[in-house]
Amino acid sequence: MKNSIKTTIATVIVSSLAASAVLAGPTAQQTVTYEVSAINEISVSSPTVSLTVNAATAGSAPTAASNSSTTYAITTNESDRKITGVLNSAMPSGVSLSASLAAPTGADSAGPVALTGSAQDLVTGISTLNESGKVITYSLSATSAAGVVPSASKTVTLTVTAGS
Amino acid sequence: MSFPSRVILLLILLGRFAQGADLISMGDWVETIGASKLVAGAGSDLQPQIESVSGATILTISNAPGSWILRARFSGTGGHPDVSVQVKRTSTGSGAGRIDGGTTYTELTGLDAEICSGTESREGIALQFRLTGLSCHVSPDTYVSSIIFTVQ
Repeated sequence: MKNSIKTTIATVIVSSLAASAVLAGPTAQQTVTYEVSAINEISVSSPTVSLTVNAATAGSAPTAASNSSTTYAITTNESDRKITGVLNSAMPSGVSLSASLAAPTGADSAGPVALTGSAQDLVTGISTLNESGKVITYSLSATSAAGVVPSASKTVTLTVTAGS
Repeated sequence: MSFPSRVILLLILLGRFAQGADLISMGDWVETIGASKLVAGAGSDLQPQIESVSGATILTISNAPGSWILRARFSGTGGHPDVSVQVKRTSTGSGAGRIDGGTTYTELTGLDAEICSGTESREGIALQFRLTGLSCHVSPDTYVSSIIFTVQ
């Protein structure tokens, strides 16, 4: 009986030593996890641009007004992006607002594009870049038939979206 | 002392000497990198360096019979190839022993790199991590770097 108790005690102690060796040791592991989210940011240098059509050469349509004072900046960490432009509402009959965006490196500008209430491609083929100071040229034109059009504001929304 | 008692005592002593130092770590670092991490909004790139809080991982070294060296390495790829993970010690912890070095960032690779050294037991050693090499050319994804710490 006495020997049996001693054997049991010895077994418990040896087992405890073995268990501690398994639970703690000279190595440990941790993880560093970083999640990079999709980044598609665009901004413009000025929130407003004014254009007035108020001149014409006799015998010709009214002279279009142009403004290149605004620039845009873009950052994307995705490939095959494009910039679209859309108006908040359609232009009056006989009046057209176009936008031409200078392309960032490696991308293609669509040149002057008449803006409408539907998204139009302005720059395509954009991939993983960050650039600023890219010129936006707005142009406002009107036909003689448009007559005198009251001053109005339109909102142009530029969006970086998928598509090459 | 009886024979069984001597055997038990011998086993205990052998166990203590054979075990060496024990290392316990607590705390992982999870970082989300989005548009808020751009240097200056649209047109700018991501901040090239992003740090964890101090004490993102806490280490405890115990049962150290004498001097020890703490090393670290990646298990696996380590994440995006353009991005480096660095680690440094930001506290001395507490305990009977001493701790030296490791207060500047060490870049982790697949090979063991010395982080710091010391003697005897130290508890609550705070570590801080840093990511470098981030840019808009790092494609959106989740990158996991498993880090193996070893004390010897």
